[in-house]
Amino acid sequence: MSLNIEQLKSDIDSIARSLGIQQYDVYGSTKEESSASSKNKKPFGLNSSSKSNMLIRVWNRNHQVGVTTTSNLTYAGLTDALILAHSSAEFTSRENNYDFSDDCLNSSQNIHIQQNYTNMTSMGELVEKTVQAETKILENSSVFKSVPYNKVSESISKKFYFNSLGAFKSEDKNISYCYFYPLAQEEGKIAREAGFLSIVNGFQNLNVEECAEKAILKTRNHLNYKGIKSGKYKVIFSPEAFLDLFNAFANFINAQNILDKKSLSTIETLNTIVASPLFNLYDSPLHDKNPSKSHFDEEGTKTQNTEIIKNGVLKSLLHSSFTAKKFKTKSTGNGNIGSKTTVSPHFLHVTGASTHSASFDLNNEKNTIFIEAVKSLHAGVNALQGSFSLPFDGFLLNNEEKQSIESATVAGDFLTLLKDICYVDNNEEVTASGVCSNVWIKELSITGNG
Amino acid sequence: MLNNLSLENISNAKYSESNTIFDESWRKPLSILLGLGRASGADFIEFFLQRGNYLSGLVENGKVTAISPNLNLGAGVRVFKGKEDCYVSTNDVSFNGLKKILERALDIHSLKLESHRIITDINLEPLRDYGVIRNKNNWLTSVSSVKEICDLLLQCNDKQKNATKYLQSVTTNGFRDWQEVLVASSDGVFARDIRLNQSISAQVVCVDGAHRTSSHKRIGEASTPNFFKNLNFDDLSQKLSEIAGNMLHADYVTSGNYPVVLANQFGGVIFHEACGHLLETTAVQGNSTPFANKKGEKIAHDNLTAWDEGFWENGFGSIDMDDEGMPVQKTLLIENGVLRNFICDRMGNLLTGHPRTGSGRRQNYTFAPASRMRNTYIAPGKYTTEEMFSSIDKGIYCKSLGGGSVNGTGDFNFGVEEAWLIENGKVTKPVKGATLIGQATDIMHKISMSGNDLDISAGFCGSISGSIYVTVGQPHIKVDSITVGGR
Repeated sequence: MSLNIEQLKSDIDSIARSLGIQQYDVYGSTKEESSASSKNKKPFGLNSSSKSNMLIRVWNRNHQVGVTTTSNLTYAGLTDALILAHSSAEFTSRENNYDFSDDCLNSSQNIHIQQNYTNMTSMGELVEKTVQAETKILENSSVFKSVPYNKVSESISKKFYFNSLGAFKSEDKNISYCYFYPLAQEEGKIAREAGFLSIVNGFQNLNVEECAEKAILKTRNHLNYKGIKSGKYKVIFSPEAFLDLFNAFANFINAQNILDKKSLSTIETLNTIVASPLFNLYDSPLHDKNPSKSHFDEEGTKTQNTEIIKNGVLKSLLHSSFTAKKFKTKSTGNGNIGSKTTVSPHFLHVTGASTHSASFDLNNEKNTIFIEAVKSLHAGVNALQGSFSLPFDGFLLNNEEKQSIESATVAGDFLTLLKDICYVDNNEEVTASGVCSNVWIKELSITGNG
Repeated sequence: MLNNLSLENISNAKYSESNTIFDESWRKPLSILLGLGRASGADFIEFFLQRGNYLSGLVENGKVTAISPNLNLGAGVRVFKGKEDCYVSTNDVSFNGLKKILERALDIHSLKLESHRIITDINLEPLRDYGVIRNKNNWLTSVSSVKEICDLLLQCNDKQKNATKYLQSVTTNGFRDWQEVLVASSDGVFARDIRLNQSISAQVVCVDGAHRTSSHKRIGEASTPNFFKNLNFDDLSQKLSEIAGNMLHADYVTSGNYPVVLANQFGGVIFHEACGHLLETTAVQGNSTPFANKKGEKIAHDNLTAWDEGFWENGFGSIDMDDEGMPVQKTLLIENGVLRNFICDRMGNLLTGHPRTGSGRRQNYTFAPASRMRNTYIAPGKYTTEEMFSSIDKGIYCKSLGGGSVNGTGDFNFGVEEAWLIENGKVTKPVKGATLIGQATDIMHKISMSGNDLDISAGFCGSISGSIYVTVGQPHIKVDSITVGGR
C-alpha cells in the first residue's frame, strides 16, 4: 500500500505544533480493492480503487473536541483539516469531555498486527471466477434468467490509530467476499430471488464456486412457492435472519444510545431479565471465525470478547471509553471515533443454553415458519419503538415437507421476541455479522396472501 | 495546446493539481491522458474529478453534541473497450496519480501504454462551466457558518422540545454538502459543476409507560447558500409534534389487504420504489425489471402520469449536469399509463439503445456512474382527498411514510410512520406498525385516483452507485388494494 503512515504522523505533528494544538489523535485507513461482476456471462462492473482517509480529532484549550474527516492527505489538505477541526471545537458541548483511551496514554501499549500479504489477485482471475460462477448458475436451469447482483472482491487494508502522546496502533486486513443473487422466472409465476454471500480472510480461502452452488440451491428452493394464510405462527429464524434483526435493534445493548435516551434499554435494565433464559449473546471481535478480526477499536482501545446476555440476563453493555467513564466501568473496545463518539458491536455470537430436544427439530415441526432472510430492515424496523414488520424469504415447515412461501411479512415487538425464544439449536453458522444458530420463537404475526 | 507528444515526453511533463478550483488549467493534462488512453486502444475514456466540503451538526436535547466536517478529494477514470467498462479511483489527484489509474484501467482491459506510439491529445469542448453559467462559484464562501448552523439547529431543537408531550429525546441534525466536479471524456466533454445540498432533519422519541413512538421529518434543497438563513422550521416542529402525539397511544394495525390513500410529498416513495428503480436502465441491462420490453405499452392505470426531472427549482435531487457531463433533461416516464422512457446513462445507452437522459449519477469519485433517479414524481390529477376518502368503506390513510425498497423481482415495501383508519369514508383513528407490501407490475394498475395537490419531499436513494440525493413527490393518490403488514 502506498500510504506512508510515518510521514503522515510527522506531517500532522508538525502542523499541530505550528497551529498550537497540543492534543490530537487520528484514526484512519488505507485500502486497495478490486472487484468484478458478470452480466450475461461477460465481465461487467470491473472496479479497482486505492483510497485512504482519516479522521483527525483535536482538543482546544477548553478541552472541547473538534474533528475533520479527510481524504486529502497532502500537507495542504492536512493543514486545512486541522484548522477546520480546531475551529469547530468551540461550538461543541463541553459536557462531551472526551479523552484518550486508557490504552493510548503512551507508546508502551502500541500494537501492530501484520499479515503476510501476497500480491493482490489479478483482475483477470477475479473476472474468470465471477464469469464462471455466473455461467454455472445460468446454465444450471432455464429458470435462471439472470444474476442481477453478483460480485467477487478482494481488498487489503491497514487501519491505524495514533495520538499526540506517541500511542500508535495498526492492523492489516485481507478481506475477500463474493455474492450471487440469481433471478428465477417460471412461466406464469412471479420471479423469485435468493442468494448467498461468502466473506473470508484471504482470497485463497474464498470458494466462489461453492458460493454459486449455494445460491443456486437457495433460489431453487423458492421456486415452488405458495401463499400463506395470515395468522400467528411459531417462527424459526435462520442465523443470518436473526442476527440481521438483532443488529437493527442493537441500540438495546448500546451504552451511548442509553445515554442519549435513544435505546430500548435504560441503565436500570442492566442485570435484569431481558430474554429467554435459553439465550446467550456475546460480542466476539476476536472469534476464530471472524474474517475481519479487530484487535483495537477506533479509539485505540484493545477489543475483547464481551458477555452481553447470559441466560437471559443483561450482563453488560457495549462501551466506548467515554460511556465507560459515565457508567463507571471499563471500555469494551466498541468505540467509533468522531465529533461524537459512538458505539457498535463487532461480531455477535449467539449461543443457546438448552440441550437438543426432539420437540425442536426442523424435520419434526408442524405449521411452523422458517425465516431464511429478512428484508428491507431500513423500512420495516422502528428501532426506537421496538416494533418490526418485515418482508421475508422463508418456508412453511410440516414435518419433512418444506414449502416456499410467496411474499409475506413477519411482525412483532423485539423485546417480546427476545423473551419468547424457546430454543436455540447447535447448528452454528458464520455470517457477515456474527456466529449464530437457528432461533425458535414461540409465536409471531405473519401476513400472507394465501 | 500540446499535440503529438511521445510517452517519454509526457512522463517528464509536470502538472499538478489546482488547489483552488477545477478550471481551464485541467484541459491540457486531461486531454493528454485521454489521448494516451485512446492511443492505447481504449474506445472511450472518462475522467471524473471531485472535491467536497461537507459539514454536519447534531443537536441533542438542547446541546450541540457533534460537528462533523469532511474534506474530500479524489478522481476516477472509466475506460470502455467495446461494451465492457472498468472503473478505477484514487485520492491522488495529481497528473501522475491520474496517469496511474489510467494505466490500471487499461491493464484491466489488457491494454498497455505503448512508449513508441505518437499521442494526440483529445480536443475537448470549451469548458462548460455551470459554476459560471448558473452563478454558483461563490456558494462555498456564502453558505451559513458553523455558528449560524449550530444556532439554527439549537433553535429548532428547542421548538421541538416545547411542541411535544411525553418527550424522551429530541434530535436535530443539519448538513451542507458542497461539491465541485469536473468531467472530461474522450468524446470531447469538458464540463464543471458546483452542487450544494443542504438539509435539516428532526426526530422526537416519546415514551409513556409501555407506549413508545418516534417520528422523523426532513427538509432539504439543492439550491442557493441561503437555505439555513431562510429556513422556517415551525412547520417541521409542528408536524413532528402532531405525529408523535397521534401515534404514541395508537393501536397496532391489523394486517390484511386494504384500499389505501397515500399522502403527497414523501408518499411519492411508493412510485420511487415500486416503479422508478425498475425504469433505470441498470435494471434493464441486468434483465431485472418486469418493464424491460414494455416501452410504448400500458404498464399503469390510465390516471397515472409520472416524470423524472433533472432540474426542479430547489429540488433535493436537482443537478445542472449529470456525472457524465450531460445536461439534464425533463424525462416523461409514464403518460396516462403508457411507458414512454427509461432513465438512462451512457452505459445504459450502449447496452440497451435507450436515449441518454442526463441521469448518470454517483455518490462520489469512488463509484462509477449508473442510471439513477433525480426528481421523480407522479403528476397531479383531478381528485380531492375528500373524494378519495369517501370512495373507501374500510381502508388506511398513510399520512407519513418511511423508507422503502424494491428487489429485482419487483417486490417492494415501505414503512408507514403515521397511519389512520378510514371507515365509511371518514378518517377515524391512528394505527401504528404498518408496512405496505406489493408487486410493482400489479400496483401500478391499482393507482386509480391522483389528487390535485402535488408536493415534493427530500430523500436519499441507495443503489449501485452509492447514496445520492433525490426528490420524491406526488399528489394524494388512492391505491385500490395493497397488502398491509402488521400484527
